[in-house]
Amino acid sequence: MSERTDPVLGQITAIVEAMLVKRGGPLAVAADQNLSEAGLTSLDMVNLMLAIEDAFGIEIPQRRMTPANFRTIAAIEQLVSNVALAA
Amino acid sequence: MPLDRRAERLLAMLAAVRREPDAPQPPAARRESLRALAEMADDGSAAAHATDEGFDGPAGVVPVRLYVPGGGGQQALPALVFFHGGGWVAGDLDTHDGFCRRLCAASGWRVIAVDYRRAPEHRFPAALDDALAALRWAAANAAALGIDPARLAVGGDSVGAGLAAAAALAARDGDGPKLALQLLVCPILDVGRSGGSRDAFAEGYFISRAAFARDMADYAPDVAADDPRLSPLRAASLAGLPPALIHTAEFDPFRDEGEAYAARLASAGVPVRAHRHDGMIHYFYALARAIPRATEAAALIGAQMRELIETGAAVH
Repeated sequence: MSERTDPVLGQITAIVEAMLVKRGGPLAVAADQNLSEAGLTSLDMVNLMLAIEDAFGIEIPQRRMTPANFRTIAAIEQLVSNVALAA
Repeated sequence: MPLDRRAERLLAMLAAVRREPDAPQPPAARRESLRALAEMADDGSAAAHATDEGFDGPAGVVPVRLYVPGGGGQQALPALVFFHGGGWVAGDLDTHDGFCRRLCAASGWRVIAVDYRRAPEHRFPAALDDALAALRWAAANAAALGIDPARLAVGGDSVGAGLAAAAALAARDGDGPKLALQLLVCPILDVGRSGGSRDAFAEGYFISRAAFARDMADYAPDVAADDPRLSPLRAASLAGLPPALIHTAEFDPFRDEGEAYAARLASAGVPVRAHRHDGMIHYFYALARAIPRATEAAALIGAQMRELIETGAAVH
């Protein structure tokens, strides 16, 4: 693994790609790709929120549970680091 | 008790992702939604083994999933014939697999989950016809299925609990086998009801009033809401029904009708154990990953089922 690989981003990407596979979506997804357009349903987004909380041991505050914060993998990464910093 | 913190967080997440709350969702989308929710079940590690089968129902083969508790083997065990919820439109053997497994492991009973026909392709009373056929099939094949016929029970959750209660009424009246127990989890028992919990939790508590109205329109558009096959709470008499375990959730629009049913059963002389899960929402018991107290509910229900057998309750 190169030193430029961000483990948080990698973990989020793995979670998202596992969900997309179940929805018949693309096998690989770019950090700035819109996840709804890639095939995640709104309930998938809830599952994604729960999976992110589990994976990083964080609790997403209600005010941050917005569609915008889950639009792309990059947005989720930003959210995770913001929540982790605030904790 | 206030709303459970994890339940509150789940409701907030659901609210955050909802795109157009009032947009009518076609049946396929409603089915897919419930299947996505099944990912919030637990890891399925409960000690139960499942096999898929089917039986000849009134309109073709009805698929069933047979659960046997760990170490159950071939011996005759008590059995629960289970009907899933999902608004008569959604829900299947997979959506409720986690809950059935946990019930099976916690009770030590066999569980037979029934994939009854769904609306709108099959309207009232197709689901109930299949439910009753499943009970008759289980009773007639008790030996082959490893069921103690004196300890055959019916159960379900949400509208599936309504089907279970309606099936128990029909069985009492001679249209099905003798039953040792009815298990009703967050049951929907009075479809036309309003006021009380129906009003207090009409919006934002998992099943909105509009969503339930859509399910009703798909399942029973031309049926009187007080038909006891649809609304068992409206049956003329509840006397002679099997003992009941009724589990309700505090923040559930359908709470009051479940508790009213428990009260009516008790006054009709039917043994009833009613338990309200404080702080909980409709369907919480199947969402263990999002709402950890779900696992306690299955454990409690299983313990009550086990106790029923240990105290010797059986069909006389």
